[in-house]
Amino acid sequence: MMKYSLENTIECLLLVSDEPMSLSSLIKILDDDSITKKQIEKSIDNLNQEYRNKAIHINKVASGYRFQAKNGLEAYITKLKDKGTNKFSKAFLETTAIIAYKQPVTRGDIEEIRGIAVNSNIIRTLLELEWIKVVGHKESPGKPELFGTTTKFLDYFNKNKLSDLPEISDVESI
Amino acid sequence: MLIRLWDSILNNITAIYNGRTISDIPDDLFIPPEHLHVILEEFEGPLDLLLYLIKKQNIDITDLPILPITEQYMHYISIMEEMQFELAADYLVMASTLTEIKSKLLLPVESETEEEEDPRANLIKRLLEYQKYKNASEQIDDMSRNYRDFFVVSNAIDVKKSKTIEMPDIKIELLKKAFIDVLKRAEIFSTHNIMAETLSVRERMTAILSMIKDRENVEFIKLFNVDEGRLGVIVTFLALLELVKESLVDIIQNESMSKIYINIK
Repeated sequence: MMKYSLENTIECLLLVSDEPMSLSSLIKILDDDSITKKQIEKSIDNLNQEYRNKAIHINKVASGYRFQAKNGLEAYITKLKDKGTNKFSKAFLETTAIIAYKQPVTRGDIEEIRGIAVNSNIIRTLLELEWIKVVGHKESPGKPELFGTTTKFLDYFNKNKLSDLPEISDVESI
Repeated sequence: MLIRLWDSILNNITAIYNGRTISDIPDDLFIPPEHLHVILEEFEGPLDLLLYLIKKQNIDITDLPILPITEQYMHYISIMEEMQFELAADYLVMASTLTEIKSKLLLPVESETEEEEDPRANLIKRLLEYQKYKNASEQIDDMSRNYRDFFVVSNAIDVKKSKTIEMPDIKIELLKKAFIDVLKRAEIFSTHNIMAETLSVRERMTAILSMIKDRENVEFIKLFNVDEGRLGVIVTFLALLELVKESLVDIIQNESMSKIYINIK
């Protein structure tokens, strides 16, 4: 028997967790057969109702639920935490875009599209950020690694799934 | 500004200075090499450079005029070489690709029946494909992102998450053992200054004993030889104490303030 209501328990777990929490990870932690995913979803809805007049709310991204600040507090928050310039190089963005939209891709595929050697640092950074992961190996000489994006990548951009990324269309002329 | 300067280099040579077009750039105009380096870095590779050249001249990419593009590209490459920049090999590969296409276009088509593919087709395809992902990368750049456009509560999305240091499991006994080992090793390396004792306590003990043996007892004061100075006196006294401790002699005083005698046991 829970000491606090389901709402309060979930609220606490989400606040304490370092990472977004998925429905299944919440189910696993709560470890109570009588709690269904539906109930958890309902509780989160209820919580967001309670947060209606507050500056934070629970948001769903690819990896699960997490607390986020509502709009309008940027001025204070950026002063509170200096996160650097948050600027990515063109090479970094292009490499990321190719992996995101054409996954699974090999290093060679990226080089083929960009027409220039892939900077190893970019791949390493992407792997360290856990934005991409090795999803397999291509059945070709050297068995090159195939890269794909992760839920963390989507989390960072506040997205739920890959199809939430902006659509891209073939270029006919430039 | 840099790109404009770059344009002027490419176009043999027109620069715009204070709104005026200057077609002759003075010979002694010095362009700091680091500026050209910056220009080079403006491009994300040969395809990016080609796209830039095409866009700049409003060329229809589906009918890519290979000759002027190749010439401009080569011009770019030669300037870079003059500046002794290490050109990425990929730029040179593109140079040879362009030359190959150009030569193929010059060769007469052997037979009408054989459907020969336009030699430019593949390059055009690649340029369009690259442009597609270039657009995509700009779209990604525009997407809202954590700590710029929205903010996650708690330390959740700390993108550059500090690596958690795994604490090794050390038992306190192991620590103690390691410390003892260090001490032992330190001992090996510790130095001792060994100096010959000018006066040996042991030797003096023997001397005192033989002195007393001959006469049964000796007056305390007689043991000391003031000529040996303070050191001699102390050595004698230490030797005497040592002898008492080892129960080889007795120290006798019949009444207070009277003479002290040393007897053999």
